[in-house]
Amino acid sequence: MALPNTGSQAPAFTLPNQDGKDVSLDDYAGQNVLIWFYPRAFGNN
Amino acid sequence: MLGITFSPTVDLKKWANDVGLEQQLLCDADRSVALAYGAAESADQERATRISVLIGPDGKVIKTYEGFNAEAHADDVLADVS
Repeated sequence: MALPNTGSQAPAFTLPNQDGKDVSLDDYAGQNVLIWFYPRAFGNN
Repeated sequence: MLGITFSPTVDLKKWANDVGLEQQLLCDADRSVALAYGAAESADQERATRISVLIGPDGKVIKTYEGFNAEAHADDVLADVS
């Protein structure tokens, strides 16, 4: 899979957060948002 | 900032508490979002690829980052949005 192209519409999503509450990309409409993917919680385990 | 990983939400909660993170940590258990963003090659990939995507107010991708240095990354992103 390739990273999204600059200037393309970011894929919409809704995912549960650490409190079990759903968070959508749409919640951040009108502001900059940085999405970062990381391998796992707790660093190297 | 939205952090996305494949770890269960209960682990995310513990991690956030342990290290004092206040940002949103999201659980992409079925990898669907990671697949859409290129952070996974397949739905059974064990761990997300370390990438990040800066999205503008209009919902469009401003910039993508991969293979970044975690310490320098925040400064790079701040420079891009300023």
